Formats: sequence, C-alpha cells, structure tokens
Amino acid sequence: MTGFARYFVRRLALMVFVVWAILTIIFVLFQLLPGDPTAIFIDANFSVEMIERQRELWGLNDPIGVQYLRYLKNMALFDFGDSFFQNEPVAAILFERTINTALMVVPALIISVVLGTIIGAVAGWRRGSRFEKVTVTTALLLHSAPSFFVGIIALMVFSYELGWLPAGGMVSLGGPEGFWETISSADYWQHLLLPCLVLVSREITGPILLLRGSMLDVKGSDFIDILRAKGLPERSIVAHAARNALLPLVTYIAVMTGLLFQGQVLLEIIFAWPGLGREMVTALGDLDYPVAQAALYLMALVILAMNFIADLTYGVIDPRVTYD
Amino acid sequence: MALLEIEDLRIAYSTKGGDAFAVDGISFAIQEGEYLGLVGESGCGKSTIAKAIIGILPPQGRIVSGSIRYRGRELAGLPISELRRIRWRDIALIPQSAMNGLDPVYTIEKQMDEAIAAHADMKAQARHARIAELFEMVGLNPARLNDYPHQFSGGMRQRAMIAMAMVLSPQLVLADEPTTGLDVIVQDQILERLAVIHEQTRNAMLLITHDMALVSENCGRIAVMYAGRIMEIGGPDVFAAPFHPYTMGLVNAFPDIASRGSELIAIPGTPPSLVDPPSGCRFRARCPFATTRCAEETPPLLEVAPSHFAACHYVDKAQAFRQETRAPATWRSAL
Repeated sequence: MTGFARYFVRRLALMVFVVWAILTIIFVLFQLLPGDPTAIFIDANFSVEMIERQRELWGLNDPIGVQYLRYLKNMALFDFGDSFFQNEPVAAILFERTINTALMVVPALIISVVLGTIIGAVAGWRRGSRFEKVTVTTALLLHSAPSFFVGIIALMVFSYELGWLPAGGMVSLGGPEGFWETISSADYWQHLLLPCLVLVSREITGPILLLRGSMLDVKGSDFIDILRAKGLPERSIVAHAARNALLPLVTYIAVMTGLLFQGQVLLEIIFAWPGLGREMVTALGDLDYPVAQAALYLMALVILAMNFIADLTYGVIDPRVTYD
Repeated sequence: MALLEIEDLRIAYSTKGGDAFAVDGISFAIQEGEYLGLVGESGCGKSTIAKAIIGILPPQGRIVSGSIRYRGRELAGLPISELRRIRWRDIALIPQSAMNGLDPVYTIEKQMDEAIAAHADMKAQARHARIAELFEMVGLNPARLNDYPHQFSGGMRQRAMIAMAMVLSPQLVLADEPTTGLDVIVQDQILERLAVIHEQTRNAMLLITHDMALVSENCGRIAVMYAGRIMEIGGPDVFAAPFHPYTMGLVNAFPDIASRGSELIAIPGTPPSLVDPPSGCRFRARCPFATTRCAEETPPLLEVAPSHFAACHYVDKAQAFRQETRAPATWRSAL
C-alpha cells in the first residue's frame, strides 16, 4: 500500500471515530434536554393507554442502551425519522433546507475567496501603499462588524428606504419552485443579492487578511530576491510568490465552508431565508428533536468532510507534504 | 577597462535610529577573469555590496552616492528594464543561504529553465540539455532535475544554486558565502567545481566570505572590510604580510590546523555602530596601536607595495606591529 493510501485509510478511520463521538455527544445532549417529546407531540386529550402505546411504538420504553444503538444505526444510515410537526421525513426537510443554505452560502463563498484572494495578494505585494492601508483598515472594520447589524442596516437602506430589493425570503410568494427553476429565475437573484453581499462583506475579510499576511511572509524570503536577481519579469515573480502564499488558504477555505453552512442562523433569520440554520433553531425551540439532532449531525459532517478534503488537497498543492 | 568598477559607493539602511551606512565610501575594481575575495566580520557590509551590484537591496536600503560600473556602464539608477537584461546573463549571484534561495514549490529544473528562458532565445530541448550539462558539471545527477528543493541535501542545494548561477555563463559571479554551513569535504568539492567552471569560462568572481582559508586558496586579490570601509586591499600579501592592524588581527584569529600549538587570538570588542560611526579610523577603538591622530584624521588607503593598499596612519610600523599582534597581551591592552 502506498503512503497515500495508508494515510487515506488512517484518516478515514479517525473520521469515523470522530463521527461516533459527535453522535454520542448529541445523544447525551438530547437525553439531558428538559421536556418529554411525547408531551409536545401527543394531544393532551390522549388517554394514558394511548400515550403508553405511542411510547412503545417509538421505542422510548426500551433500555437506554438499546435506544442508543438504534440511534447510532439510524444516523449512520441517514434514516432520521419523521418531524414531530411537519408531516414529512426529516431527511427530506433537511435536504431542502441544506440546498437553500447552499443557495446563499456558495455564491458568497466563491465571491469571497476569489475576490479576497486577489485583493489580499495585491495588498501584501504592495506593502506600505495606500491601497494596502485602505484595504487592511476596511477589512478589519468589516471583520469586526456583527453580521446581524450590517444585515439590518442593509435591509433598512436598500429595502425599506430605497425599495430597490426585496426585504426577505428566498423567492417571492408564488415564485419559482424546484432547484433549477429557482436558480434560473431573476426573482431568486434579486432576493439573494442583499444577504449574499452582507455575507461577503464579512467573509471576504478572512482571505484578504490571510493572503496579505502570507504574501508579506513570502515576499521577504530569499528566493524572491533570487528570482529578481535572475532578471525575471515582475509578473513571473508575483506568480511565484502567489503560488507560495496560497498554501495556507486551502485549510482556511475548508474551515470557512464548514462554518458558513452552520453559522448563518442570524442572517437566515434576518432575511427570512429558509435555510438549515434557521430550521435548526426553530426545531430546537419547538422541541422537534428529530430535526434538531439531524441538523446538528449534518453540520458536523460538513465540517469534518471539508477538513478531510483540505488534508488531502495539501499533498497535491505542496510538494513538501508527503503521506509517509 | 575593468569588468566591474565600484567607486566611492555609499549605501544606507534606514533604521529607527537614523541611516546606517553599511557601505561607506568603498572603491574597488574586478578585472576580467579575476577572483576578488572580500572578507570581514559579520555585519560589516560585505553582502550589501553584492546586493547593490545586482540591484536587490531590501526596501529600506538605498545607494546614497557613488557608482557601480559594469564594463563601463553605470548600474546604479539604471532603469529596471535595462538592469533586468544584465542580471544573470552578465552578473549572477550565488546567495548566502542556498537553503532558502530556491522556491520550495517549483522543481529545480523549472527554476533553472526560467532563468534561461528570460534571457536567451533557446528551444525547450536545448535549454534542457544545457541544464543537464550544468548539473553534471557541479556533480549532480541530471535524473534528479525534477526534484523539489526539499528533496535535496544542503550541499546538493548549494550545487544546484551554483549550476543555476552558471547556466548563462555570466562573466561576473557574486558568491556570497557560497559554502557556509557545509562540511569541509563538500566545501572542497564545490570549490573544485567552481575552479573547473572558471577554467572553461574565465569568469570573474566576487567571493564574499569570512573564511580566510577559502580566500587565500582561491583569490588573486583580497579586500578586507571593516564597518563599511575597506581597510586593506591587494594581492595574496594582504594575508601573508598585512599592513593594517585589523588584517593582522583577522589572520591571528583564524584557526590554522598546521600550527596547532599556537593560541588563537580574538580581537576584543565589537564593531562600531554604523548609524553613528566614530571619527577617524573606524577600527581605532579596538586597535592596540591607536593614537589621538587616529581619532582626528581618517586614514586614506595608502599604497604600501605595488597594488597593495592599507588604510592606516602607521603603515611604516607594520613590521613591528606584525610581531606585537602575535602576543595576546597586545590585544588585551587595547580596551
């Protein structure tokens, strides 16, 4: 087996262990939560026998060990059961919500990474320039502004005062349905613009500051002097520098993507975006346990998967990384 | 016309305390095919000269005055587009730290190739042949051209840097501590390779080092630098029969395995601040023979023998000084 295959298997095994640990923590957390789910789900007029029958049906009377094992098995098979309140399987609800979150997060992510990388690299290369100073100051400001604050201001200005953009939701009432119809409609893009820009305004600061920093590091290395001494044109030297400065970005993108999927609770609430974060908060408030625990589980999986991908990508882009 | 002429060169680094003149009024010339060794303590400005010649002074450094002429052409202040053409094709650099002189994420061949491609109109195949030839010349296996720098040992990287410097057969090579950090066997091999290349190309070299043995073995001319100035410059006699007390101190301080019994004598004290240098002779605070005249008058470089110059007021007493500097007690009296 090659070093890479061995690493892959070991890394995968570690991931399985982490998933198990996360599932266990979620299980314990939900056992500790106050309130009896049956009390919420079951009508107050139910007789004791009916409640007892329902508990039996759900397996709530089984020993805790049996419940735990059944839970592990179902989670592993992505069988999340049905929602207490929405008459739908949890998997279907969460699938739709995840797509919705992605519809906001992915465009923001792409814009942030591409633009942020370029701006940050230029700022780092032109150290001490006016451009660098303005960029860094703006980035730090945006980075520290809470997104709910920026979001509300943006809504006030562009929706209520100027009336240019819709005030919330992903599409208008009675608007397009289904994935392809949605993303090909102007309606969706109009709704997307504001939350996406608010998200970009914060997320772009990461790549900007990171690239500026790593570009500064690279710029001070001896090999840049040598490239210069070799008489290479400036653009070749910048290409060398950028290639080196991009390395730390890979990990950052992975972590950023994971966090973006889980971290949009506030923005989704402000912009009434029917995404995963909002769904999870609603589910927790309603004690809709199947939805809440599955949402937590999915978010953890996204983060783990992104980190896994980052670890593997490193070996491809940095020749110094080997998997022996 | 000399290949390289440096005249009254002054280079300053801006620091918090003011400008530090790392190079303060230096003149020397290198003839075609000549090896000039430049020695001195760390921080005396040796490397700064090399960086200035090829135009890679750090942003806080600048040439204040003086001139650097390559084949009569002024390099100081030359537009970058013109300078770019001279770099590597005419003047190449073997840097102080070959460890970090190579881009870690490009293969060695790619890095050598881009140097050729930037200056010569050669087909990819011809470039590859040239690179492989150079690799063999420095004693590396061309099969490893596609390796990344981290796959090479320190000595191999240094050889690769030398191969890269030689790839366009430059007439002037600036070698800044080319063998520092390598064991003596590898050092020896590398110098042997440089000598072989020199036989073939008759290139000139500015060899910057604090290894005096390296200089006396390889260089026809020797310059001794102290605190931004040249103290003594000349042929092999600079070490054999020095006229400047600083050179005498350096020679005494250098270990010589052949005469194992003799005690090493260090020069006490440290070099002066370059931001606020002392008046007169820069070495006077550490010199056992310093007088009030040394503080008042800056000694000029005097011709003490044919094409041998020393910057000391008391060159006529050199004979006596040489005797006295061999006694450790002499140096202790200086402070």
